[in-house]
Order: sequence, then structure tokens, then C-alpha cells
Amino acid sequence: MNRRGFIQLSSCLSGGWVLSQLAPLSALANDGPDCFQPSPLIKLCSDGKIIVYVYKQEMGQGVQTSLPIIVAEELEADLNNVVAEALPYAAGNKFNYSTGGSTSVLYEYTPLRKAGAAAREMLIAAAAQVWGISPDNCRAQKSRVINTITNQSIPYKDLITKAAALPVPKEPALKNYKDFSLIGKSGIKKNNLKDIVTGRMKYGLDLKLPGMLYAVIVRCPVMGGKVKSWDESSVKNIDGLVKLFEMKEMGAQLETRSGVAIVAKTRWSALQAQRLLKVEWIYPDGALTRSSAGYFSEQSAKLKQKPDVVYDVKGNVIPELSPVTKDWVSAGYQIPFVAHAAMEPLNCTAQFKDGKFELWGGFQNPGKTATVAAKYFGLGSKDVFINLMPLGGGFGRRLGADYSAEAMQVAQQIPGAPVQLMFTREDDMKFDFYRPASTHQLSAMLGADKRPSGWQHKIAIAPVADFMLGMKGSKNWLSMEAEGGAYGDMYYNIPALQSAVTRTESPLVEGWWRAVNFTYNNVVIECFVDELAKKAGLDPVAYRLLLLKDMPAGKIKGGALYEPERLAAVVSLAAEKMDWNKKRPAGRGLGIACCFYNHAKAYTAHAFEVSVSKTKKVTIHRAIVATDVGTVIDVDGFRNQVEGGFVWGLSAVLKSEITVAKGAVQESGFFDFQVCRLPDVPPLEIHVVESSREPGGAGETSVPSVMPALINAIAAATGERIRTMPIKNKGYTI
Amino acid sequence: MPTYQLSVNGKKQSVDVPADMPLLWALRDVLDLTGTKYGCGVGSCGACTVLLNGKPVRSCQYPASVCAGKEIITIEGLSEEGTHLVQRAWTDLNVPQCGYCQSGQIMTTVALLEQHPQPNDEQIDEAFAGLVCRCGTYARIKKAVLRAAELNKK
Ligand code: FES
Ligand code: FES
Repeated sequence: MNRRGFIQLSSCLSGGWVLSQLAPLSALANDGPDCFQPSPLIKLCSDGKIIVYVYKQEMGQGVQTSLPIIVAEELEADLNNVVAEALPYAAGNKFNYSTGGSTSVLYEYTPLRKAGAAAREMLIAAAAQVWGISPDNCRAQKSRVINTITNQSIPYKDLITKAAALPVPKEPALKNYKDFSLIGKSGIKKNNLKDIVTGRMKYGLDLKLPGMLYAVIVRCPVMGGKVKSWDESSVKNIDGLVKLFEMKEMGAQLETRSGVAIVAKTRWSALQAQRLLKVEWIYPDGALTRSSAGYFSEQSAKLKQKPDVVYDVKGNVIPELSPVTKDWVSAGYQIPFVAHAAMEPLNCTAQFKDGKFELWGGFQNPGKTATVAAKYFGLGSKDVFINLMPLGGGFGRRLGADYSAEAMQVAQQIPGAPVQLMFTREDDMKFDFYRPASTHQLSAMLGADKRPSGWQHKIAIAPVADFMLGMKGSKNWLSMEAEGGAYGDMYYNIPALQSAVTRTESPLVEGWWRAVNFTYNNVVIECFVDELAKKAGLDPVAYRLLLLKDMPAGKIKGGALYEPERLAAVVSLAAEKMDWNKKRPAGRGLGIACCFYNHAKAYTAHAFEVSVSKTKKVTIHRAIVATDVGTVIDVDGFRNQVEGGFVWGLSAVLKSEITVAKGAVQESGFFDFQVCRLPDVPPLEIHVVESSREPGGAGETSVPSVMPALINAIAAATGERIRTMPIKNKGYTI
Repeated sequence: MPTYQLSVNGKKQSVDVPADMPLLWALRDVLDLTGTKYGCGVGSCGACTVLLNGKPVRSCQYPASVCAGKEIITIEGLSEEGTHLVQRAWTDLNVPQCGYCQSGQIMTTVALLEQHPQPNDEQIDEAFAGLVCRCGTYARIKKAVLRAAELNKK
């Protein structure tokens, strides 16, 4: 296979079939006299260009910047020569394209360092050959190998052919943290900045192919409902319609709705027809009686019954069964459904030709489309070629394959033509895979030392896995919904613990939402700990530190290493920066909360200083975050994530909520599903712990503790303990 | 289909579109100027913001027919190399995350600085109250507006 073949593959806009050019990545190594590929992910060329292929998907979290930095660091490459390109999706290659859980840097750090270091050693060995000296007398810097005896140097680009002939070292020597010149250094800019500020960046919705048609779908507003009939005469005045047809539900894991597809020559025709088309539906029994208020009542009722899973029993004091003493505290919390609402509404372009599909768009998990969606059509993953484009936001929503599966179903009806399926904002809002709604009952007794001597956390929820993984009925996945403090991952030192989870039947499809279970379990635990501190008559910071005292480090359920002193350190740091113990003017309240985000080895604490007016208008005087994620790769990119996580958390605690009435989602845009806007957001003071530990993750890790910290601050300022989100429902505004 | 003369980024172009087609789709789907984004189609996110005779408007809310004969400026009309002072400020502050909302944020800034070369907090809040950045880059947007105002002085 020649180099051109690969370049064609890398182009995400390559029209037509390129499937035949797919080859095993090993065949790409050493693939020409003027380029060499010491790893499938690195290509060095004699024109000086160094290409780093990124198989994690760029959705704003910066993988196209941070991952190449890791390679460049070990490769001793001049960052100006380094170009990041999306690695084309190829069924069967060994790379995990799935991008979620804040794990890209966490898992790729060491492999990418090794790949970069191996290439560096090969280039050094090549230069040593040229000079006839030992590699020990050479070092690499800024894309050149330097002869340390003579101070001569050779640029990498002149060593390509020689290096390509050498074996790839298996265990290359990695650099020391203290010698890093890129990792952890500030001043690095996003790699795609120029494309963004000039409007040239192409997202899925910006794609235009010759002969492309446009599709929208009128979906049944109620889960499980089916099309009865539709009235074509309602759209007869619209020009340019190509075809209307029924959309079938595609079953478990895809969870698409029944509906009517409208395919048109122009987008505007399709959009108008979507508004006008009259469709009659058949609803499943009882579906129209479902509401979010009713669902919360169902959850509360279920919490009083015998739980489906009881686990994590440690010690023998179970507060609920204990006599209710004056040291017993119990509180119920409610967390609503919320939408992802990425700025780029869902879309996917598909073409069906000769029994195969080609797709274009932004995907967090292209593999799911290539397997689960392909299977629906009786195809294998080799029959689906996916062109990966940058995502206008992901947040977990694009881990699904519903939108690509729908695009495939549409394209199959119009063989040969590329069809762009677009969700309107309203579709995107009404047909999301929502963050689950959940109800919690937390109970604890205080021991003589004021610490909880027993603790029980009961959760009523429908697990995300029911929908995303087709695991309806799985007890294992049900119990995993307790992650974030109630799944054997309780991060405070409490001698007797019990968690209990009860399954409820969700009226909505659910999915993973930025920071997943932590946005409910960790949130309610951090609120409840403040309630306990109050009961104990202790300061919330001091109380947290007391609960972290003597907590042994070790592996928690799920395998992550927990280092409690790092959590205590960020709590202390946030408090110190807040001048926690300083006297405040009357009416001011301080709040703190913390999170060990164990999926991504991250420790975060948020602190707020607020005051609240008589009309419940909240003024945030100061907001602070202290975070320890180990080694930070791209410093400014990381801070951007922390700032974004703050806004994400603020939106959720203050205003975002999806409600259900008559079985259907009520919100349809940014006017009723509210998110923070620029005037709502106070400055955030960010304190990042310097660390040479292996890196953790960034995207989700600073989301959870925002919410309880604000609620705790409001409680401190007003005396009112809020136990539901968003707090606008209690009359609070910002 | 009627034909309209649109002046986009200083270039006169004729487009054949239905009278009610929003300017947004005429720009994106007919003129291939995809820098202007669709975020909601109902005027509630600002992703589609362009300048119409110098004023920031939601292009999803203006039929293309109404825009005939007026000066339209889109993100592509600022500078191809990213050298417009607002683009420079955005680059300096490394503002974007996913980038999808940023054309609207940048065009809003261009219009704001036109009206208030040295905007104060209230003027910034007012200009951006209708825009959404779901990635949450607001703090940087605000800093970049102030940076652009600085550059504006020079
Ligand atoms: S797309 Fe025009 S305001 Fe949202
Ligand atoms: S940068 Fe992603 S929506 Fe603003």
C-alpha cells in the first residue's frame, strides 16, 4: 500500500468508496522512501511534517491538542512541525475509538509516550550511524538530533530513510517528569483554533456532498408509541419533497422511535414539511399517564419497599433499623432528568450503495454504529465505512448510535444518494438519552466522635444500561448506578455502610451525561454530609477532614486506587483560598463540596461564597475550585475544561430540567430547557495541584462538586436546606 | 422560485430561494458559507448571528428575501487568516472548546465593539445574554471581548 492510499483514507471528506483501500495498519509502516511510521499513530516525513493520528474523538475537550503533545514530548518534536489528524475508523483495528469517561489522556498517556520515545530512539540511532558514533553521544531536541561531541545536528526530516530501516525498540527509555518541555507547560494553543475563528471548521452538519438529500423525522413523542397513519395532503404544497416513509423502531441499544421520515431536495423543504405533517399515533397502554412528577412519586414509594439490591454492608449498624435517636439524620433528595443539549444538534449523513453504508458525522463511539447499528441491517462492521468529523459538543450524547442508525435506515430507502439526517433543536431536546432522574434517601447516626457510626444510602433509579447497553433487568448494572459514593466507593471513613438500589421504570430513554452517576450520587452525599456537620455542630470543612482522617488508601470496587489524602488536600486548598475561617459580613454563606472522580483518578473541591436576597436572588461573591488530576498535559486546555465543568454544573444546579407530561418531554429548546448564559457565570478562581503523578482525566471531573457546594453555600446563607434540583423550582434565581 | 440579490461579505450574489427561507439556510446550504451555525432555529441561542447592515441579527429569524439589498457580514468575511482583531483576541485567549458556538460569539463581539468600542460589564452582559455556549467558555469570551477592546485602542 502506498502513502497516497493512506492520505486518502485520512481525509474525512473523501467522497465515494474508499473501503477497498483499507489495509491492516501494520502494512502502513515503512511505507515509502520519504515517510516512515514507527507506530501506526506517528508518521514522520521528509518534508518535515510529523503527523500524529488521533483515534479519540475531538469534541471540544482537546484530544487533538493534548494527545499529540504527549507524543511530541517523548519524540522531542518541535510542536510547530506536528500535525494532528483523526485516524480513520477501520473496523478491526486495535484502537479504542470510544471517547468518554474522561479517559483519553488517562489511558493513552503511557502508550503514546512509548510510541514517541521509540521513534526518538530510532532517529537518534540513525544519526549515530551517520556520524559513526554511539547513540549515547547524541541527544534529540526540537525535531533534530544533536551530536553532543561536535555540536553538529541533523534535522529529523533528513533521517527518515535511515530511521525507517531500523527495528522499532520494544522498551524505549521514557523521559523524566522534570525534563518535560511540553507536558504541563503553559502557552500551548488548541490545534484547531484558526479553523474555528475563521469559520472553516467543518462539523457533521456542515457537510455537503454532490447529490445530497436532506432528511428529518417526525418521531412519536411518547416512548413505545407507533405510527398509525399520516396525511400526505398536509404537506402537498411543499416543493422538493422526495419521499415520505415510515421509520421503524430499531430495538435495544439503539432505542430509536417509530416515526415518519421526510426526505427532500432542500433542508428548508424538509423542515417545513416536518412542521406541517399530520401524523396519528398509537400509544402503548398507560403511556399517556406518565409524568415526571408521577415518576418521582413512584420512586419515593419504591424507596419504602424492599430494595432490589442491597450491598456493600460493612459493619453492623444500619441506621434505618436502629432506634431513632436524637443523633439520627435522614433526608430525601430528588435529581431530575436533564438533556445534553450540545450546541451542534445531532446529525448524520449516510449513503447506501451496493449493499454497504458510508457515514459522515461526529461520533463518540463509532464502533457502536459499526457493530450494533450494522447488525440491525444484517451487516458486519466491514460493511460500514465511517468518516469521522469533529463534534460540536458530545457530553455523552454522541456515545449512542440512534442517530446514525436512523440515518442508515433513511439512506437504505434511497439507495445511491447521500442523505443528511438532521435533528432540529427541538428533536435534539425531545429525543435525547437523558441523565436519569433519581430519588435518594440518606440516613445516618452520629457516633460519639461525631462521625457517622452507620450510614445508609437508598436509591431509586432506572439504570442507564437498560437503554445504552440493552441490559434491562441486570442487577449488576442496577447496582453500578450507585457509583459516585454508594457502590463500594464511599470516600469517607464510615465504619458501617449499606447501599440499596431499587429499579424503577423510566418514562424516558436514558444515557450517560457528563460526569454520569457522580452528578446524582456524589451530589446528594455531599449535601447530606453538610446536614450531618450541622447536626454534629461542626464546620463543614473541618467535618469533611474529620471524615477523611484515618481513611486508608487502597483500591475501591471497580479497581481504581483511592488516595484520601489527595481529597483532603483539595478540600483544604479550596478552604484556604476562600479564607474559610475569616469572618464574613452578615448574610454571607460559605459552601464546600468535594469529589473523588474515580473513573479518572481526579480529586476536586469547589467552594462558594454567596448571599441571597429576600426575593431569593443568589449572588455568587466568589467561586473557587481546587483540583488534583495528577500530571496535566495541556495546561490551558485543562483550565478550559475546568471552567466548562463549572458552567455545566451551575446550569444543572440552577436551572436545567427535563419534565414529562402525558408521556412526552415538555421542553423543546434553550428557551425552556435553561442553561447558563454569560451574565449568569461569575469568575472562577482555579487552583491546580502541581503533580508528577500519572495523569487522570479532565472532561467530567470538575462537574459534580459544583452543585452541592452551591447548595451548601445557600443553606449556610439562608438556613434553607434544598434537596431538589434545579433550585429554580424553589424560587432561586441568579 | 424568486431570485434575490444578497450582498455577503462585500460580494453580490444572486440566490434562488423561497421567500420565507431563513437567511441562515441561504448562507449555509446555497452559498456554502457554513461558518454561520444552526443551533436552534428559533432565535434562542445566537449560533447563527451575522451582521446585517452592521447590526447583529439571528440569521435563522430573517427570511433571505428581507435581507436583499442589505450588507451581510458572516464569520468568513472577517479575515481568512484569523487576523481580524476579534479573531486575534479569541486566539490569544484560546477561547473555544468544541468551537460550534464561536462564530456567533465572535460576530456578536464585532457588533458590540462597533457600538461600544470600550464596552462595560453591563454592555457585555446585554450583548451576550441571548447566546449559548454549552461547553461553557463564557469566562474566556468575556476576557476576549475585553482583549479585543484593548486591541481596538491601538
Ligand atoms: S440558530 Fe438562530 S438563534 Fe439559534
Ligand atoms: S465552544 Fe462548544 S458550544 Fe461554545
